[in-house]
Amino acid sequence: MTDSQAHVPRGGWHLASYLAAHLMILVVSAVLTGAFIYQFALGEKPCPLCLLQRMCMILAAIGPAVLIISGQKEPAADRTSLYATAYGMTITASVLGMAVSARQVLLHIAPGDSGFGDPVFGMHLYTWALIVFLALCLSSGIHLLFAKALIPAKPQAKLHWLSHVTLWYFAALIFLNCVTSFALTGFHWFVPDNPTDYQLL
Amino acid sequence: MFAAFIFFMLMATLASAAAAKRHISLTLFVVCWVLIAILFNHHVTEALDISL
Repeated sequence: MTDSQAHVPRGGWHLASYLAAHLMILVVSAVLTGAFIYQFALGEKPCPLCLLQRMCMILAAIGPAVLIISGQKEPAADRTSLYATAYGMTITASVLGMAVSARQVLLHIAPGDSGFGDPVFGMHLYTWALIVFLALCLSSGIHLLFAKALIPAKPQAKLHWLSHVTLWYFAALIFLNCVTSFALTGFHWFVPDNPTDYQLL
Repeated sequence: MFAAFIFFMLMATLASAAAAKRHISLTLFVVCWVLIAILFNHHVTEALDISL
């Protein structure tokens, strides 16, 4: 066995579950990156509900992050509760995110309303956000349904390089969101309904 | 500023998870969830000019 193989859970389903946790973080990271491209390349400032959706996506992806990080440190007896905690986090955060994105979808559902911002692949960003939250919720439910087969029996030796890249990129996106939302609101307590400028720039 | 504070709290949650402090990360997760819900409630009630 090579050194890199020792760091990844062995067995088809365990490996699939391990990679699925990464995939959930990477999907959220991709959506947040897309939102940044829209914000800076196309100059579309995020509305309060857009920022709330970003927060809920980050919160939902913290569950798999906890699973990846703690999975290698927890003893075997605690791994089932860790699995439940991680995907419980994702489901509760996704439900809140669905409430926010459904609220924004309903705001613009009236005939003749062109929606907020430009559509991407035929749908607005908040509609895509609703789909992402539904997918996260569904994926977490499936993981919990088949938890017995998916929880690895042995802990990992240490984090794989893929985990390091995924988690650092995700952390960088949270930091950038913190900085840009502060630049957007300045020292005002709340984001205006339709922000047109950065308060700190 | 409230939004930036929540993002800061999210960073703290991820940092506590990275330090494998499961109880702290779970507590911070709940705090973040409540703060986001408060902010959402503010934007909904303010836009509709209602109180729930």
